[in-house]
Amino acid sequence: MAANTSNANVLEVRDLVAGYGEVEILHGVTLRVGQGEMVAVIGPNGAGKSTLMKAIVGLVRPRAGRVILRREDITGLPPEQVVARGVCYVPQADNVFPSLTVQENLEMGGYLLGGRARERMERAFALFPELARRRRERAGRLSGGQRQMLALARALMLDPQVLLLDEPSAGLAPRAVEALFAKVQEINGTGVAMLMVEQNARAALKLAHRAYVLAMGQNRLEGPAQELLASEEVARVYLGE
Amino acid sequence: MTALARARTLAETGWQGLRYRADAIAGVVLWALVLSFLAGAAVTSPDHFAVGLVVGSVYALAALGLTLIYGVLRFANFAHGDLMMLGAYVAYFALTGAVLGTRRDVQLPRALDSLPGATERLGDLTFGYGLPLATAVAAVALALLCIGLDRAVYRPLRRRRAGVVIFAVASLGLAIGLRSLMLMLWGPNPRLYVEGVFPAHRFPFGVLLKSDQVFTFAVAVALAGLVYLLLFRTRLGKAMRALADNPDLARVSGIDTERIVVWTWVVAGALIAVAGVLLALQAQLNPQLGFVILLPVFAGAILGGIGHPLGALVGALVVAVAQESSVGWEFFGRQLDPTYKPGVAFVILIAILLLRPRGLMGART
Repeated sequence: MAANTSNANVLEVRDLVAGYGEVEILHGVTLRVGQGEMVAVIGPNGAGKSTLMKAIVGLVRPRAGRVILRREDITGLPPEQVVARGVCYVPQADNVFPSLTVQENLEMGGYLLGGRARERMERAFALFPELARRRRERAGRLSGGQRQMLALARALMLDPQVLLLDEPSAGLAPRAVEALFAKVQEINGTGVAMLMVEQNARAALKLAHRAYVLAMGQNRLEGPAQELLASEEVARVYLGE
Repeated sequence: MTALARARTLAETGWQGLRYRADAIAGVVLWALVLSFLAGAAVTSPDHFAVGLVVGSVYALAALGLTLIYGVLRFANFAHGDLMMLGAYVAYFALTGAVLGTRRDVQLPRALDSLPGATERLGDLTFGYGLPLATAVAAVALALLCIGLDRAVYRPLRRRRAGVVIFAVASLGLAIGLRSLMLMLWGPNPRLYVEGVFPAHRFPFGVLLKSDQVFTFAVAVALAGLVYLLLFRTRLGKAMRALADNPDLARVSGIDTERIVVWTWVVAGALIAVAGVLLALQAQLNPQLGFVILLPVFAGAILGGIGHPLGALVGALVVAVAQESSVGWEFFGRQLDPTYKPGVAFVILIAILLLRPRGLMGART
């Protein structure tokens, strides 16, 4: 599986420290995402997985550590600039604009493209035919699964160098999760590097090339996803076996 | 699942369903009330209805600005009415160059009405091309002022993530400050853009309207249409709506939200200035007027569903028609005194907040 990935890092996170107000959540997290790689971050509730995502994309300001995109240091840049450099992000909840139509959501995803957004939008509709059928509908009227697809499509509008997915399967019916993961894998297959946080650890490990286990805001384990899936410690603590 | 748990789930979903249905029914009832009220008002007293539409079109522009700021910046701007009046005075100053002196007005040597032909009446309107020109000046001035006030007052509060009460009090303070400024510069006595008595025209169904009133309505409709095009057809407008929906998601979509905020103030400032001039043209220039109309404008915006542009237009029209028609209503054989007009807005506001706080078109919370 790791054959089509190289060692060149697209995204690198070094000793990242971040939190909200007085509370520090990440106490120094380190990880890397290679070219075309799908990397999963798993861990219990409160491990700091979502905070990690927000700190990378600039919604939470890191207190220490580095976020490096290819060779550029993007630590602490505001989100709109991080996104402009090719780090796109699908938040866990509230990841579409409910009062905007499906098409307008995609237009906003391609906001930085200006006039060139149109062709990308057609490409997105080709990738997600279900969204094409509902392009004039308001996003707030979509089902959970469709909403997640739209969130994915919105984040893909800028042709990201790396795509961050925060708990894409949260709150979805099993069938919708299956469809979503199939789509995620398809997109990764086209060469888009991905960093995915998942509560559903087993599914995430099956999908990913490599994975990190986070606990209490720190790295706990890392390795090829297959190995972690087979590891007794992971099975006992995180897969609930 | 035990039988008890199952029963509880059933009861809960039933309750949810019931609440959902109650909300939907309240919405239908509200729409039915509003539409039948408008129809009733139009049939029983077309003259009050027509004046209501004119006043309502000014309220609608005000409510549109208010709801735009509320939607994008998430606070109720209590300074809106006073900003409108300031816009009206800035236009007055641009037109006449007059401010209050110690004994009498001090006059700038030149102002827009000293341009050749600027005071020659346009058709049957009371004013010449000087007033539209002065309004444009006021629109630019108010847009700049709004940006400045945002930088000085609202942006620091935003960065501190201040609560709604802080914002409300800050904007109220601003409102009082602006009103004092107008009192200092132009005094408490009412002023007019153009002095004189102008006859009204007779329309079918006994409607009497001045040309200025027809003009006011037309300008308001045109501006509302422009704002609609902006919000739903342009990239900037869509970004405003996206920001209103979810600021964080807007930022991670690559939208520079502070820039959108500046443009929102530009649009709101221009709307404020035009609404202010139209209000003063309808009534008079009076430093107190801005605060007086704040209540009906809020009532209109809330009736429509605050944050919803189309709702603001409908809500404001309904409130104005209700206020104007109330003059003809009889209670115990007596006609309702016109001084009760603000009370009518209050009654509507309270009824909406009780029946359906999200208004006609507002989002479910």
